Amino acid sequence: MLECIYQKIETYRDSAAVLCAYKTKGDLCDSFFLGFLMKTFTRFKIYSPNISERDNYQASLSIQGLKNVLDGLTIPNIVLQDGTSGRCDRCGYPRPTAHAYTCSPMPGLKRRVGVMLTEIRGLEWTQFVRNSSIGGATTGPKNQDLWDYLEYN
Amino acid sequence: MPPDNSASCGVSIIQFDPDGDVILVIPSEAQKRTARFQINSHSLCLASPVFRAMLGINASFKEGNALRNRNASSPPIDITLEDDEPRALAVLLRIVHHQYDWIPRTLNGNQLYQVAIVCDKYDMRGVLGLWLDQWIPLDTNCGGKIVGDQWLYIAYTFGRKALFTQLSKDLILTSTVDANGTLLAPSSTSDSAQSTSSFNHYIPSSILGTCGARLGFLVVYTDRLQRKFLHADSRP
Repeated sequence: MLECIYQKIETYRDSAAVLCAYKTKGDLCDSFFLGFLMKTFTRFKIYSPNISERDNYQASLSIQGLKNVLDGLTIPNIVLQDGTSGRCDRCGYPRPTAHAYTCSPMPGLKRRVGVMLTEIRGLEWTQFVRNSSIGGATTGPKNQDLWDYLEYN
Repeated sequence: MPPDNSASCGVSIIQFDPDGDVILVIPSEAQKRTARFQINSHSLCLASPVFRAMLGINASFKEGNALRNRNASSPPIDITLEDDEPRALAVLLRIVHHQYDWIPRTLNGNQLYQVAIVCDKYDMRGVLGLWLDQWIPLDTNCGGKIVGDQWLYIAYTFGRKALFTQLSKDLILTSTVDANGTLLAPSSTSDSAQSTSSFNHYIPSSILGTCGARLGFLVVYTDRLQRKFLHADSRP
């Protein structure tokens, strides 16, 4: 469930590697954010350098659990400013909050996972109901007047 | 007149019909007790297609033959039912025999679950009718002391469509799948990967299979979302 996040964290775990997905000046937002993510995940034992511990955690993680993890993350309130304009080179926002929500990858992921959860539907009971061939139907009569149905010949 | 009840030497006898032609015998090996319910086979056959197949006029089972061969002076025939919860069966038999004063007005989650098991086994949901509205009001809180998949089973057995849909969604969201795509029940403790338990075996495999398939799709979709937002496919 968290393979991609773990993969990113692994990429940025080496403190000597200041990397960025965009490889352009000013686009350090991802690495900055993921560094924060790594610390947070490690602190809450969601991430561990130990692969066995990670696998165990992932094996027990449900979709609801993933949402809870993402909901528990705060977005770092930091802006990487361009030296001259005072704005982020990538999103153009000067304010930390707006910048964080634009440049950090996690808000979008959190939002989409939240939307996904609202769109999930449960199963339809009628899909699984049994009807007995020997008369013990577990569903009642459909579309029938249950008061006036006597027919006199 | 209320039925005669008596209990002695580990045997509990209830006459649902004093003239009943069948005695249902429900032994409990663990507790060394036996329940004996004298019932009217015709009432039971009307309520349950399973009993109709066993005891009805066209039944080919030995119990059906024994019933056909008895006369008015014959004693009731014994039919042993293994593994049934006698208290749950008794509630259903009260309804079948129109002894409504003896039917509990409320049932807790575990009691409902036991009734559901017997009801499902003998396909007797139809006789519960309005009692279900009494026992499971629309605003029923599905929490409590029994685990969620037991409530799912209750909702399935009793045809509570909205509740079934809601609980199956909860199950999809809180369960996990293993490497083989098999659905694993939510763990009882929040932080242990080793504590996943298997599902209630009464829940039809088709329901669990469908939940597992939907969850498998969600896991793939979630992975795709992560790749999209974390740019995992374009590692620096």
